[in-house]
Amino acid sequence: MKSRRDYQFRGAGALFWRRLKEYFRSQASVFRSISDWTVWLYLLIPGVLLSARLYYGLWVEGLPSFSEALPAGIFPSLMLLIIYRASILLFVQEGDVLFIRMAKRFMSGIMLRGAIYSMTMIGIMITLGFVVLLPFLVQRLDMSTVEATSYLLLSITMGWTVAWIRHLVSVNYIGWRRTLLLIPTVGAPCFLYTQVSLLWRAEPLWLFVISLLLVFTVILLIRVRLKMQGTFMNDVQEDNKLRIRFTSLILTQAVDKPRATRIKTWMFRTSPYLYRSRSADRRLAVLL
Amino acid sequence: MAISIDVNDEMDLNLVLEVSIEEAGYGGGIPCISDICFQVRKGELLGIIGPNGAGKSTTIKAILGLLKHVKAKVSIGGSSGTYAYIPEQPIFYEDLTLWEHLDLAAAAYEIAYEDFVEHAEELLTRFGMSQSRDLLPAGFSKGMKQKMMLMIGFLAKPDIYIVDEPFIGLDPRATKDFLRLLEEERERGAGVLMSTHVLDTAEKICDTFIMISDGKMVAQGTLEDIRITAGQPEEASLFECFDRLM
Repeated sequence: MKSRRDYQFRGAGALFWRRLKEYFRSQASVFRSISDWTVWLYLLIPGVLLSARLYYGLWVEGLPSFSEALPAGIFPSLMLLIIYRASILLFVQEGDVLFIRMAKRFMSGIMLRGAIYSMTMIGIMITLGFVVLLPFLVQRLDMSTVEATSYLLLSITMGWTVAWIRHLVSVNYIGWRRTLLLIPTVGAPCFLYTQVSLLWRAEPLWLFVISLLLVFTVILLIRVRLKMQGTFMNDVQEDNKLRIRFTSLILTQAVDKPRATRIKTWMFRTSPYLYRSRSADRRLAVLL
Repeated sequence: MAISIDVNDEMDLNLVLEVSIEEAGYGGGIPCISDICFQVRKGELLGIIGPNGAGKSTTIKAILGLLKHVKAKVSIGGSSGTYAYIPEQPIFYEDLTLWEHLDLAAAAYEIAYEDFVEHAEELLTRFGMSQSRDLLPAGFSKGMKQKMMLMIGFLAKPDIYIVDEPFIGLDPRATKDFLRLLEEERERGAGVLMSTHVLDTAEKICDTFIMISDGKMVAQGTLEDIRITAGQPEEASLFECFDRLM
């Protein structure tokens, strides 16, 4: 065995990278379980080439005729689909309850790195979506480079804000309270995004200012998150939910969704007898 | 709702844990436990006794700061203000080996590496787990997983041990080793807060008890105090007091 002179996990960084690698490995294994790389190569290479050609065509050969009929609101709505999916994975694990929670520098280090990772991923996803829409934004809506850049910045910062709001509500509330709170807390920024996109699309300065305000909001939300206490069990549950999101998507068609555990019956909550008689056949009839 | 978990320098020097839970629960507006107050002194073993669903594990979760809906004050005293938690159900990282678990725990507790290696090797030998040090715990038996939890706890040499149902899954030899190590730690000055159902063992090893029923404390103190509260004679066992009070 290789002899060591120091800890394998000296700080939060080493532990985070280990968790990130394990996360990627588990996602890759889920992906491999449904696909064969040989088959994928036959789909992937032609698919990439065809998409690249189509995309190139949008820039040099002009947009398809149907794009003229598209309302301006369709573009922020499409971006909202990506923004709405944005989420925060903090890489907190159940085992952290044993000793990591007590080591504050480990815990906050992992959470902060998880936050940076999640926000980077949100940024990448939104940028990818934006790049796909860019020919339409430039040619259909006549956006300049500055306008497009400010709009991308607004989209990314809004994605971060929505993700953090959703995360904070999800780890602080459970059941119907969570659902009820998510509607206005996520709905309001999404509505704001659509309105700003439509009204100030051609006002890059305003978009930059709003993006800056959103960055400050996100910093504030991260500080609140790192100081938060008593949410560890919900943090773990939320992280687990996000980790298996890809797996559950793949298994949707293969297995039925597990039924939620209920502790009360829908009807007859006091286990009443339906018949006066207590004979075996009547009791059996009630149970059936 | 608020919980304050302090490492309190101004606590009575003999105290390692001071708990005052006004109310705590899992949300929904209904507290699961309320009005639970106790202290653990240096070298003291305090047993939390109660039937299933009484609120023992909730009390421990409230102390550890795992519950959102808590109104409580928890102060950890001692020289370093550290605690070790040994859970009822073994919890582990699926991708770390036993040795990596110990490595990570020791790094988190900021133990010098040389001291860690020496102590970890000693614990592995003591619990008969040397052969399994480079294996992943997912393949361990329930008892081996529980031993791993104990080793991680003992590695830290904390001021207070918070132990939830430690005897479940342990073989007699491991139980004996656990109790011996616990005794050594108490001699060092560590306090122990232990939730258990195993009343005959608890009667032998615990200095003091708190009995919880329906989320409230129904008795507290030494076995003699519990007997008085339960209205039982001097020779009554903890089980008889438990039977009377619950």
